[in-house]
Amino acid sequence: MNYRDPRLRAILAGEYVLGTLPARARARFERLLRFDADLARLAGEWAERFAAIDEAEAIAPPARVWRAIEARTRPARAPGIRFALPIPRLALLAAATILLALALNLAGVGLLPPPSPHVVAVLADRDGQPAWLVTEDRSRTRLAVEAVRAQPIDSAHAFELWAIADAKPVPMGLIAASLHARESFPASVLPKNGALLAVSLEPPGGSPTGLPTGPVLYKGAVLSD
Amino acid sequence: MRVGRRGRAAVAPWNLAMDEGAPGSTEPLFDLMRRVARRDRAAFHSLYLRTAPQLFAIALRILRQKELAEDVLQECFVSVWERAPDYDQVRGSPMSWLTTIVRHRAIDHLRRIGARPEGAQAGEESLALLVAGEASGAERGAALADLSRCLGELDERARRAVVYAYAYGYTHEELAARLAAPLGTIKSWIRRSLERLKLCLDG
Repeated sequence: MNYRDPRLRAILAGEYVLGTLPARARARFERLLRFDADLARLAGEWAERFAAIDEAEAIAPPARVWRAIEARTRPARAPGIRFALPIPRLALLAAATILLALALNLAGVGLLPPPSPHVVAVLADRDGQPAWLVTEDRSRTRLAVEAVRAQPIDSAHAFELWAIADAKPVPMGLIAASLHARESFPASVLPKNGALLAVSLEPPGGSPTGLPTGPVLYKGAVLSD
Repeated sequence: MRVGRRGRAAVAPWNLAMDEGAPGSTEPLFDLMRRVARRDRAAFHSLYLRTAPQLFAIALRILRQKELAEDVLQECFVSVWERAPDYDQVRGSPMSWLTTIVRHRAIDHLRRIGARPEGAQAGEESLALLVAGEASGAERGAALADLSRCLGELDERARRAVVYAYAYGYTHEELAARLAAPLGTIKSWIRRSLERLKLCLDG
């Protein structure tokens, strides 16, 4: 299917809404919808055109349906690092303090570059609320992705980071959802200025297809220097 | 704007009836969707109360069995909870976005089981006028009257193909069997009909 021909795009969007697209064609169309606002608009228009057929009827579903939905969507604890053996919080805190002191000390004598990260992108949700901060270290060799807002996610899902340049998403890796958890990536994966970074919801191991399969929840442009 | 018209139309009679005992539930569906995207569970429940009856009727019309329709409705709302941030006004009104999700889930279910469950064919009467190509539906609103008029301009079997595909989720193959036409003909009827409908409804 030629996705550029405006006439065919309108028909394809109509077939998508009608439900006659074969499974694979529909999956491909849905992937395009995420990045192609015009195609999304065409599909929206078709949904509106046919909506009149559905308006007359309403049948109350039994209460068990909502109960099941409620049980299945109740937020689970955000997955963080879990230790096999319980380690007292105080011990963890002490260890972290020692590590931090060591790092600062090493930085002080010039063995490590001082921490002065450079903000590369702020990934916001649909309402523009910032959720993830992407920074680059001073030597520009590592990227760090940090959650600046707690992200509720259950154990059946993971957040995956994508670099999108020329409308092509490239997977960068999974990122942890817990507040201030940091994931680090080689800076070489960063696309050029003006490209987008996005976070989608994926199965635990990440997208099996190499393209986003779940919703794109957060995105932000790569900022210029 | 189309979306606005649909937004008002979403307040169907059943919906008003439900609102009587539930003050505050007249919040526009757009706003509810935005709150659901922010993981607001109260908004999620309101969205369910407002939209589930119509969505259940749609699933039931395609699947014909109550249990299957319940499963599909459940799957749909679980996925809406996850996909709500994906919703964008450009995709149409919340109701039609939800409708697309439910219809696709129901159609997928039919494809998976490879058969159409036995059961009462729901809603046949309300579709009869559309299928017959008679301009109707004025009493149910301008949108249905427009759609009905434009469907009426299509050839009879092409019109049936479109209405059956939408209302019952028929595949190309099922339409070919039901309308006694070759698969290729069905596909071109649908494409041509979509083109003509678009012209007629936008004009």
